[in-house]
Amino acid sequence: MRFRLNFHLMAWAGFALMAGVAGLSHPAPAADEWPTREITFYVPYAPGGSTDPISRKYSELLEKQLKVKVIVENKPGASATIGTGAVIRAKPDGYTIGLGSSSSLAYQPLEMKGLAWKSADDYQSIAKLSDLPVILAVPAESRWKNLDDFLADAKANPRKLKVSVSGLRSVNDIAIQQLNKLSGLRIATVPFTGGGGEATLAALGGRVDGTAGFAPGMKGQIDAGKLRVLAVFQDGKYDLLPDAKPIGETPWKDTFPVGYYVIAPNGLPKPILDRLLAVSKTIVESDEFKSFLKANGYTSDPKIGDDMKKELAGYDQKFREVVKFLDDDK
Amino acid sequence: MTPARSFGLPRARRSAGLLALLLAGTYAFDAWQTLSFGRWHKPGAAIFPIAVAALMALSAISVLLERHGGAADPMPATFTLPDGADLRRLLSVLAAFAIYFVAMPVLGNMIASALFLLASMWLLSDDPNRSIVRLAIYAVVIAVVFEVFFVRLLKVQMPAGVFKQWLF
Amino acid sequence: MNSLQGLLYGLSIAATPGNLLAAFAGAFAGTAIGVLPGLGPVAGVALILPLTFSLDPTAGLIMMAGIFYGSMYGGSTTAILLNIPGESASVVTAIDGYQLAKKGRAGATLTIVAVGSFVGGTLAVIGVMMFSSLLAKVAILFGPAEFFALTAGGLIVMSRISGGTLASALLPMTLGLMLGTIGQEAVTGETRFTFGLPELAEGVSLVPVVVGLYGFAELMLLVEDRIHAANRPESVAMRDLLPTRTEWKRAVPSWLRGTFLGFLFGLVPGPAATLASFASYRLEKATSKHGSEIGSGAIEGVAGPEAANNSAATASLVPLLALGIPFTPIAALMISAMLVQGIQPGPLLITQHPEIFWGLIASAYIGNVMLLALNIPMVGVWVSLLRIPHYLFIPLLLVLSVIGTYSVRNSIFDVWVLLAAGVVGYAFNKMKFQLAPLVVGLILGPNIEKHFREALFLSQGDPWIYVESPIAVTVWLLVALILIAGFIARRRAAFAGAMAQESSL
Repeated sequence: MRFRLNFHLMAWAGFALMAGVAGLSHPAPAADEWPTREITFYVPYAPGGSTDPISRKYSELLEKQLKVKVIVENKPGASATIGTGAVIRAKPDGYTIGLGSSSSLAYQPLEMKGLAWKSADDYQSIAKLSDLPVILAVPAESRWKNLDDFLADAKANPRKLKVSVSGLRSVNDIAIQQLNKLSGLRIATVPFTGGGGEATLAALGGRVDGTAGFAPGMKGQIDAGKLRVLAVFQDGKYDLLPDAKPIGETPWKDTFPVGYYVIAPNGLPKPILDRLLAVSKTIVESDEFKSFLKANGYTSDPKIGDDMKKELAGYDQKFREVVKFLDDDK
Repeated sequence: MTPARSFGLPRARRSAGLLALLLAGTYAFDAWQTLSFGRWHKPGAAIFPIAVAALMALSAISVLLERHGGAADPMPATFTLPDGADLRRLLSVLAAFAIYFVAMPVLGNMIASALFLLASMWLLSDDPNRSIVRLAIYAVVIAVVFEVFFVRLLKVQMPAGVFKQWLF
Repeated sequence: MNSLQGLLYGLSIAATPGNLLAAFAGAFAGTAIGVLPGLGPVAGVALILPLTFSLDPTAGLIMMAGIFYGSMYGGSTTAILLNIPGESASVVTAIDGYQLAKKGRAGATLTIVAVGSFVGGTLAVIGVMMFSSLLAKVAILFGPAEFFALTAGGLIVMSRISGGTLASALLPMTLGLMLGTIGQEAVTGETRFTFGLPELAEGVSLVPVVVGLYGFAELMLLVEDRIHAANRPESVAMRDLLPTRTEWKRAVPSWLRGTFLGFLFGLVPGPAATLASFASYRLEKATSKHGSEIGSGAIEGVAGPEAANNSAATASLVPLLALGIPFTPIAALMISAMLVQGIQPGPLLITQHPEIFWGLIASAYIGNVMLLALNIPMVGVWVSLLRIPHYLFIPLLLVLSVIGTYSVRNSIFDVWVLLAAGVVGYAFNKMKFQLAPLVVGLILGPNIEKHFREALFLSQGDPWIYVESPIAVTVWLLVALILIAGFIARRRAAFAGAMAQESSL
């Protein structure tokens, strides 16, 4: 460790020296020499949730593949549309890419007017990084021991049970609404805009009856016995939290995880696009990336380029149905 | 004595109050027109701005109704703005500053900084025998040091400009 | 493992040469980043984050903590010397710090700040170490209604932070609230008051406003007036670099009050360090024996807030370590760093990864010592900067503010905001409107709105939620108490003033 640290300082010092001494070097760069400078990777969420670590892991590996610096920048706000828009509106030169989620890419265009994208045609699909299932947890001291208890209570008391979610119409909100839609239950969702942290805190403090969120932000509390996980919104068992009952085992199995994707602005030069697709494929299929996903509860589901675009187009239809349900239920 | 013009403070504050009242009105109108109020259990985006507009109107009125003069008034009766050469210097530095960041995306941080440093040093130096060569050397040295330290070493992101490939 | 054993264990981890080097590199880089107006602790930690992935987790976190402390301190340096707050937690430091610098006490003030930061940081570390699991429960007690009381009550109390008449504070404060509503709002994502400019969708960011209002406006005053410019200390003797015995004496109670207040703020979410410094300034005004001097260069006005912001920054480690929930952007970045390294933050961190938990706490000690050792010798260097001739100095600072402002969001638009804020600050200075309330409004406005609306979502539209919890009621009562006490104190002062006038006749 000491060796690595010293090495880094030496590298810094060497870099400073080079920066100071080196004169006229690079000729004009062309597309086939990409990349010649640092790449910026926008994350449309604040750090601390499930989005930042995965972006940083991808960027770290991208840095190794491309041998240039990849700078991760958080541009949070407005249900992730600010940062996503910044990527889509950027100059298509391969130096600005970013993270998108199934929510920011496919759901938000249905809710918000005036976004720079309406469908998957409006940006370049690069690679799908992972899926992450929504989980439902309740405070450890609450009276619901399992999902059936909770749903029975929800049935008896429509619109009374409150579940905190990280933002209005975030994927965890939509997952609950989809359950409402299919089951006829009416579980109320309470949005907390400070990201996953505040929604979890509301459940710990007993201000809400439960919280819907993602494992990376909640696992610490679950392991410590402060939260009890009831359900995971996916078809099969969740390896990370085997106690969670899959929604697939209830009659209302049609649910969806949040998907995380890498996107770029439309119109990348072909050599750059090909290179980016190729290295992204190497990264998402690498053992290092996969073991990171597994350790943090993400589900690996590599899809490159057009495969990813197809998946997002499929989400579009499902989300339209949820929007219609919410409009009718107002 | 530097040239300066003196203005009445109470009058200036009343104008500021009127401006604030106008701002409150426009702001409230825009919020009313474009934003949703929501319902009690789903409060919308308009509520807070309307409250802020009301507070702005209140504070504007409190400025308009201020009594000035008298021994208890903590404020002076007048304030001064620069005039003549001082005003010219202030405005030219401001103009140089604005040109500086208009030019920055094109020229890049380092070149634009060097040029701005030279221009503003020239404007601010009161030595009639100032040497432009000496100032130019200062400007270039400062700009390069900033670039190396902040941009290269600490990885602060700045526009590189079109001459990027010819600079280290 | 009890606290003391834990700390010794932590020290044994943090004191390895590699980790010491990480703390030193962090404190050094942090100070450099903090001195750059605009770049504060968050930017500093974000810049360094990718580098920490190649270190082992403990060294990475120690380095981040070092940057954090370093940049908090660096931001105060420019506030005192130049009236340019390097980051928002230094805004109040600029008020009295700059007045002190004008009186030739810059060196002494910087020393008081360095020692005060050390005191605040160190005492807070002890608090974190002793009570972390207990204190974590405090955070859970706070929901939207409590936060609404805290932020809205705070706005009322702090609107008069920098004195002056009520109208002179209310107008800028409301302007700050207005600026805070620009952009896509956080709860339902509606776009407000952007005039079709995409840059405004992200909102008006704090940094250009603060740097413009204070720094840029100050530089404009220097440019316009050469006589004003000549009023600076020409040279500072060595003995002026050190505080006098009276200054030390006056600083100590302020440090302690600031540390305590800051610690409380650090336990709850929100911009803890900034709010703590504002609140401490207000507290010093109310409680200090020299309270009436605050605003015109009193050491208490610097010592309290600086101890408070460091203490708050340290205390915000509590929710991070004990709950795994980040309350500040920096804590969030630290959690990201842990997750990437495969460490699950949360209540079990202390048993699963004691080396991280205790290492981080020990590094907070070491970071504070390091900072003191690094910065006391630097005081002379900083002060000598004041002797650079103006024609060199002002352009240099303008360039620094532009680099700092631009780099926060990579936005040239923000630099225009800087210019506009500078012009507004200049006009407000001339017209005797207060600047600090504007910053308070801009910081608190979005928080107040968010908690106000979230509370209604939570109660399903029942407005009683705001006064249902004992904590919220207590906060509101405190606010009322402070207002009444302030009112009585002012009446008394006015009465005493009138008496004095009469008797002198």
